[in-house]
Amino acid sequence: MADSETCLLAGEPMQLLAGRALFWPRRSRLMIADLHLGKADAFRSAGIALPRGGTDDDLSRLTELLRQTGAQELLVLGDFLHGPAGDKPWRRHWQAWRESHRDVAVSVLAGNHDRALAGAGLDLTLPGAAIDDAPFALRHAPEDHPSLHVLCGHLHPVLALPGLPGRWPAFWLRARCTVLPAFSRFTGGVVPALEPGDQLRACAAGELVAMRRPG
Amino acid sequence: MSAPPSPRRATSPHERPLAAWFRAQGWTPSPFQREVWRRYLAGESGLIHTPTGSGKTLAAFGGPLIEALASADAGPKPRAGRTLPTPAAESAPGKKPRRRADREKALRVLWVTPLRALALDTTRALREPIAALGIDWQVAMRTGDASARDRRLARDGKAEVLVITPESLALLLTYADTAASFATLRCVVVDEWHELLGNKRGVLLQLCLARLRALAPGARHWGLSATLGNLDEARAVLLPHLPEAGIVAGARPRPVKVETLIPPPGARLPWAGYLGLSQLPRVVERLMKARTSLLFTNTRSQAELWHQALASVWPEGPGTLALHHGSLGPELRAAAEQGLRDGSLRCVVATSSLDLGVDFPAVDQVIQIGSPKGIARLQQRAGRARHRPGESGQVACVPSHVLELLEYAAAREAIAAGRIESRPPLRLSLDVLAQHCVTLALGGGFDEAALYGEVRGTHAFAALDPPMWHAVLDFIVQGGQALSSYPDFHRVVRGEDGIHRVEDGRVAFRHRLSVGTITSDGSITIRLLRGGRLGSVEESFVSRLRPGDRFQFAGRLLELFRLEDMTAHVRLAKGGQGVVPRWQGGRLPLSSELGREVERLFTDAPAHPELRALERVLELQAAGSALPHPSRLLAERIRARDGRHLFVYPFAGRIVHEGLAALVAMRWGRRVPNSFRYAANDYGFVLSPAKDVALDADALRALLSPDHLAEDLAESLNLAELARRQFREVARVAGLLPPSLPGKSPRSLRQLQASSGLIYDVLQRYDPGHVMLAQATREVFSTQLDVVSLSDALAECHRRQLRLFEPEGFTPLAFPLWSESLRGLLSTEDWKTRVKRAAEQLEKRHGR
Repeated sequence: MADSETCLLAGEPMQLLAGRALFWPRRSRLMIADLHLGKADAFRSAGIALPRGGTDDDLSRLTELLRQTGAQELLVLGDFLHGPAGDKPWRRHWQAWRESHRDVAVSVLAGNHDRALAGAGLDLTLPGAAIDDAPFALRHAPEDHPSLHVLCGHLHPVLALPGLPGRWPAFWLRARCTVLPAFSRFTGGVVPALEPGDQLRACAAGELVAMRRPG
Repeated sequence: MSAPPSPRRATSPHERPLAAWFRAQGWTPSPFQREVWRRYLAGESGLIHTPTGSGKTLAAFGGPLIEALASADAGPKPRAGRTLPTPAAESAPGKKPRRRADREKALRVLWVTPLRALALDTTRALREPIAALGIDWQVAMRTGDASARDRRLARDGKAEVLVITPESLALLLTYADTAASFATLRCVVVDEWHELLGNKRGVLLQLCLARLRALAPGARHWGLSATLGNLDEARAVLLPHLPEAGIVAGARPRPVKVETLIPPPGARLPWAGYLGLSQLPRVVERLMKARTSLLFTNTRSQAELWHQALASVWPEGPGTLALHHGSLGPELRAAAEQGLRDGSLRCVVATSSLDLGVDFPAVDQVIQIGSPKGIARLQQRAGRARHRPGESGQVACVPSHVLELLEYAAAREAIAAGRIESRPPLRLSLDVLAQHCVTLALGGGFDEAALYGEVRGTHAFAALDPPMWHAVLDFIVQGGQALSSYPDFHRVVRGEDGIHRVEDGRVAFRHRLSVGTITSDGSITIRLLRGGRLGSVEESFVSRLRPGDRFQFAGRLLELFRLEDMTAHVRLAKGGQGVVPRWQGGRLPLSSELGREVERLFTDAPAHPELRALERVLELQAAGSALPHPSRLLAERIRARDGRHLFVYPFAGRIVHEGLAALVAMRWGRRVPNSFRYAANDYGFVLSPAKDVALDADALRALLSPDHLAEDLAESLNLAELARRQFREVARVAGLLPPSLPGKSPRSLRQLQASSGLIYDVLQRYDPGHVMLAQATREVFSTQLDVVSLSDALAECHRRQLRLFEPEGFTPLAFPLWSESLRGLLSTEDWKTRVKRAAEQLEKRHGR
């Protein structure tokens, strides 16, 4: 139990971070998935009263992770947006954040929520829906890849912990695929059905909690 | 009040055709019916309390009928007491009376019924005298089950009589034009008022009734209720504007016989459990002895399981066994009801969905599986048997575990003594108020000051002070409190003219979908690939299934084919087993009235046959520690494989026990930081500390002290966790959760997926003073952590002599608590410690 854990994924040393992110030291690249910017705004415009503060909170956690890892690059594995990219308050938050992180290269893989991303003008690099960067295939959603280990998001894995309320976002570590937890706090999730050999790392109160299924 | 059937005193000449119709049916109007008619015609409102099947429908409907006959008089001249050319007794029911085109159609009677299942029977029952008396009235039904034609009639105001559920009434109020058509109402009847009195549906109805009083000030309001422990209060809640309104007593409840299927000597009943399937052979034997039986269970899952078990050994044609519960589709429910009506079914397995409603004289016996839960409930169920003149009701109780034997004996004593539960009404349910305000904003708009006065006129909101009222308005207008208005949020808009309205079509659409969801949860429709809708289950159940998985539902073994758009397409599976869905809120606590009765019977129940069957168990309890007794407070510390547990048995009801568990854990954990698992049932609670700590009788007495209760509750450690759980309902009612719909969900809703827990966390983090968080917390304080009942319970514990035993193994009282699977968690430790322990436990559980 710690706030980070170094492990080998496809033979490559990687860091799982309890802040819901994955760090790739060799590339100095921080990876997150499912930021869902604008989700609370979508609720508010539909007449469901949600307070503001979520976007700021998500972005300041991101700042802290960049500081902690010293990453040069940020890669979002899809679902950067939640819905339309209209002129909503989250945009100003993002632009301010981007302004204060000019030295970080930010790229975003297109996820299923990112239809509006291409024309959104958010000062991002958009490499499309897939990057192969051996030994990893970087995707939004899990898929079978013949040779590379898939790193992705989309599923929002969560885990209930004995003696603690609620369910906690988790990394789902599989033989040929690693699913990242959803980064945004305002996301739900599903408890994955583990196969033999699968492991989970829940991100709870700043700690990583391991759960293994004996294989 | 007993008026002879003579035309003397106050008897309207228009009562005669009604009385003639009674005679043609072989009935005589009973004194209480005539009293209600008279009071109604004199312009009074009131409350009628009488059991079902005693003629309550006609008691309440007779007045409006007589009035209709009288107003028809204004047209053609009556001949010799007959108001219409068609003699009442000769007109065949269902025959369409000739319509007079010159008369304007207008809504006259609104009949509110709590159960959709009742609406159809009520509609039928109201149509009969209307047709027979040749009154030119249409009766329409407006419930979730109603046909499209009925809905149109209701919306267009084309019916004079409208049968409706509280939710559908609220829905009608969202349309400006329908609200106006209520102005012609002369009578509002609230059927089965006792079912609504103590819950949020009742609060919603109170608000709707206040609106109706404003729209139709002349209409008379009548309530129909079963007998209650708090009838005066029931009247005050229904008719807050008429403190002098009358309470009319109807027929006495039929006598009922409560018997128990006591296991034969030598046979053992389990010490815990709730299914009762070990009694299956004896139940089948019993069922075969009667022509038609109703078999009641306490939950829908239990009904599915019993239906499945009975079907597997059913000695007759499968068509003679049916299932009835609230999650089944209306067609399936109607088929079972029809089978009971015509006597073609031998047995229907049912839940509370058949507690109420019209009687089925064909039912020869009633069987209750498991705990009776309440005195009124068992009496009601027993009353459904042999509903024939001169016969008494009956119920045969089948224990699912051994201590239920005592509950049957206790219920029998209470029924004989005429003791019955009260249903305390809720107050200040701000979530319901928020929903109602949006409803009115949508249905034509409201003025703040006028609505404040109207709302304050209800029982539920009599104590609504201006700050609370403004918090609710802020919530619907700007999202949060005045200074933290949420950007881009426009649910309700306050116009230049000061009127609050809904202007956004999407808000209107979503609100209309949500209005009826006070009772129903996010549900998935179950539909056969070839065939119709079977019913619905909760989303959480289906989401655990994968295509090909089997489950038991609607008395069938089903295989999931695919899940899309909130609909599970299934096909019938052959052979094998399937899991049974669970529905939330299935666990009903034993009423505290019954709990006290049970405690007394442990040591004082010589005459009941159940006690003989309990002898061995009571001996074990007495040998291991002691029997409960009204003069002592029993506690046990028992060491088991999974640690050392503390059991305490105050017999104060499950809800109070949950509160006591929270309180004791907090006080105990204040001395030494610790985490506790806990469980509560109707007899007591158990605390299982993660770290074993010594505890003697003096220390326990101090933990149960009535002193500093309020302060301790305020810092109650699991308040946040309890409130998070409670928030689920609050969020749904207040419109903080997007509705989940059967069928394809509209595009506008697809991006609005969030659980109540997630929304709770967001509010807690960014707007901790939110009015609906406060509502959830207040509800926790009015149930589990209710200061008044907790302080009563603690005073009672304090008065008693505390006896703390350390038995070698689980006692019969301890075992069911220990085996409770749903266990809460209370902790005074910090997060780091708790996360660390979770990590260790996962490590231990799954090994390396």
